[in-house]
Amino acid sequence: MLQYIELSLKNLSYRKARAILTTLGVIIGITAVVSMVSIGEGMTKAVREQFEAFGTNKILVTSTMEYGVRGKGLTDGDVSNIEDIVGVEFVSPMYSVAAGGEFKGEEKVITVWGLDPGKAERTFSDVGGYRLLKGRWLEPGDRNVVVLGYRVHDDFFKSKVELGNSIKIQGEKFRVVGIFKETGDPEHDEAVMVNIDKLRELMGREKSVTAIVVRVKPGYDVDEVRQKIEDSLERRHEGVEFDVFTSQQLINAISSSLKVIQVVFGGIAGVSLIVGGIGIANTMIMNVVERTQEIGIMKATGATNSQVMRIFLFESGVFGFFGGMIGVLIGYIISTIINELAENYLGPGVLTTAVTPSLAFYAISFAILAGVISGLYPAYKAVKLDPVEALRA
Amino acid sequence: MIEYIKYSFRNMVQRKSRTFLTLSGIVIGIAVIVAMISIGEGMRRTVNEQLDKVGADKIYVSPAGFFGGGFGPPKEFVPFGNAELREINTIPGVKKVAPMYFASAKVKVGTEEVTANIIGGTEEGIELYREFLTLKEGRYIDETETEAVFIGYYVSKGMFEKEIRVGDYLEISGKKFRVTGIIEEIGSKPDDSQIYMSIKAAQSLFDVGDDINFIMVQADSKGVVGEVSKKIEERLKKLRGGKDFEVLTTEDQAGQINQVLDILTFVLGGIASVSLLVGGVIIMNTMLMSVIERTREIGIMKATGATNYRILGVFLAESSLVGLVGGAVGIIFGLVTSKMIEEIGQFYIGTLFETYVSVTVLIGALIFSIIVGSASGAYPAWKAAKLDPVEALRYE
Repeated sequence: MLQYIELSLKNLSYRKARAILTTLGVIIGITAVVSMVSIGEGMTKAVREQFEAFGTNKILVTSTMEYGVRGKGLTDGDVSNIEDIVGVEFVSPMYSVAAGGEFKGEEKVITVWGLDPGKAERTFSDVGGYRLLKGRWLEPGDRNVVVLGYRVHDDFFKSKVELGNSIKIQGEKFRVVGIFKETGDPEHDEAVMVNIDKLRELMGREKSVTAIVVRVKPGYDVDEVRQKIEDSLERRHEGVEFDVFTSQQLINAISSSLKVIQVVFGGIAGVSLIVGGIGIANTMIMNVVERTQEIGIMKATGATNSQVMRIFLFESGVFGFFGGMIGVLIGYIISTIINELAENYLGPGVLTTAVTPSLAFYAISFAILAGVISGLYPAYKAVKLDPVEALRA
Repeated sequence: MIEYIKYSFRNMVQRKSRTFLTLSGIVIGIAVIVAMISIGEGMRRTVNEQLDKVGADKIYVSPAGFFGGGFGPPKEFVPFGNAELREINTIPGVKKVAPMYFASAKVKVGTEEVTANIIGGTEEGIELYREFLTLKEGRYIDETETEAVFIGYYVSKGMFEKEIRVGDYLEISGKKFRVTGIIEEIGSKPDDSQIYMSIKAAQSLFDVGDDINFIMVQADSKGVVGEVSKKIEERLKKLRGGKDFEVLTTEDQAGQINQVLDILTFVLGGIASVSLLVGGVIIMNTMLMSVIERTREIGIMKATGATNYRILGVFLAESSLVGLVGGAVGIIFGLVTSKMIEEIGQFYIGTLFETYVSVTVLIGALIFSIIVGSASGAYPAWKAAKLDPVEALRYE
């Protein structure tokens, strides 16, 4: 074993430039694959963490709003029905709507979330893991006040919206009493939170609910409670569909679509690894030609075909190994840079990348495999050499 | 003598496999780039053709959040009503106003149940649709018919096991509708899966009063579209108390879609170019070897009066040639790959999915591969030019 290593290292440095270039091909290939996959892995991880913060004992009920069949969605009646289900600890209804927002004469469509003011803090802080940057949460009795997502405060409008300012929603004034910390999720950072009743009045949609957040009591089975909620909804709304998700289901759904993206991007990047393999094959063939005499001597002094084969396969595997190692390293650096850039330009948590140990392991194994496969033909050529002819070369 | 022939023959074979491998690097790189770009280009062409068909004189008005809600919890939108219609109708430059109600519903045929998109429209809507839809058989519906539909091609063929023909009945949300006509295949499954009925029928089927969630407006001419859409925005803002709706022209729509496709093409092409970079590294490697092997030859060339500049040129020409040939072959493979992707895409998405390779892309790919070839050859060529002739001649 040691012999093989020694021999291949010696040959590698023999033609240094060639070895460097050959390895470089693999390095670039592996770097591309690792950075691509790391973006996908990072997104999956971010999603997972976000939902884990949401907690695995939560259930989200939403109307299937595909082209929103109005008048048949969730209502306050469903909320009180769900409250009565055994095993349900906490129920918080939401009404969200895309409404017309206005600040200092600038008008933009803005997402408005209506919440029960008494439950807002519990729903978002406890359940959602959201924190305030300034000011306070909605409180019971609040009517024309609003809590802003970070971006709405920061750069949604041309000028910053501060505590005490007023913004208009559908023409009515709301005073800013709180601002959320940045979450990196634009859906949250670009939304504002107001009293659900006030909002529904404003939109003319009394009793309408677009989502219900449910927390299951400790000791109760989440899936069982989910089933009960589904049954209760089905009884009340015949022929209308609702989505009842547990966090686990949400994680699985999003993760699997991210997997597809990961495979496509990783696959296109993987082509460069194939090209890197061609580079190895090219170099190995030159090697075999140059070392024809050496191979002749090896064979004459009793080396078996399988030994010769192994020497060359090992050598091409070494290209793959080093290329893979360095590629993973550079891939890691690139992935970190992407992380930094994404954090600066997109905000924290929007796009995180991650080179997991298993990704590093697979990338290096893959590189070695590519090296060995590329070495097959040259190694076979070396084995096939006639020792007598080879010695005469 | 025979020995020498054998030797040089073997050498040639060796060289051949080296040349072959060096070329394949570039070939694969260019093929992947061409194939990837062809996806983006094809999509752009299809989309723009479709939008052209619909016409640049159209304006689309919809409540904000009606199309696509992103990842967050579902949002409600405030639908339009007759007040919005009246308002738009009074705007100068408006030729036709077509209110619509879009919904998705369960459609039953026999025991099969499928969710499909329903579009409810008025006479004006059907008239506008007739400008870009062609009827395959049967007839369009009349505004006053409340139990009749005309259907997309896929609804008639493919959505259900049984083919749906004119005169057949569909059960939509529990109510029976007779099929009066079938639309010619458009080529995209979502568009071919629509079911059209009168807006009154849709509003009563979904029990929504006189709600309207989409308004298609036709302006007098392309020239006034911008002006009219601005007017619509102003008037509706006043009417609804805030800007909780979107107004888009066909041009806006094309712009938005093209922007997304640009990014897609750029990202896919960018990732694919990494292969070409690796291909370039292989060229450099091969050229470097070739310089070392031909050290003596270079020495002789120099001794017999070749300038450094000339030697640089010889090697650069060689690597550029590798780039050119690799690029040309790569383009052929790229076209084949792109055709394969098209076949797969058409199977899943519909016949509208096509890949397209423009002449610009072909020329660009060729130039790009020559650049990669010569750039990769630059260092080896420089090394060759720099060789000391005396040393080079002594080289074994």
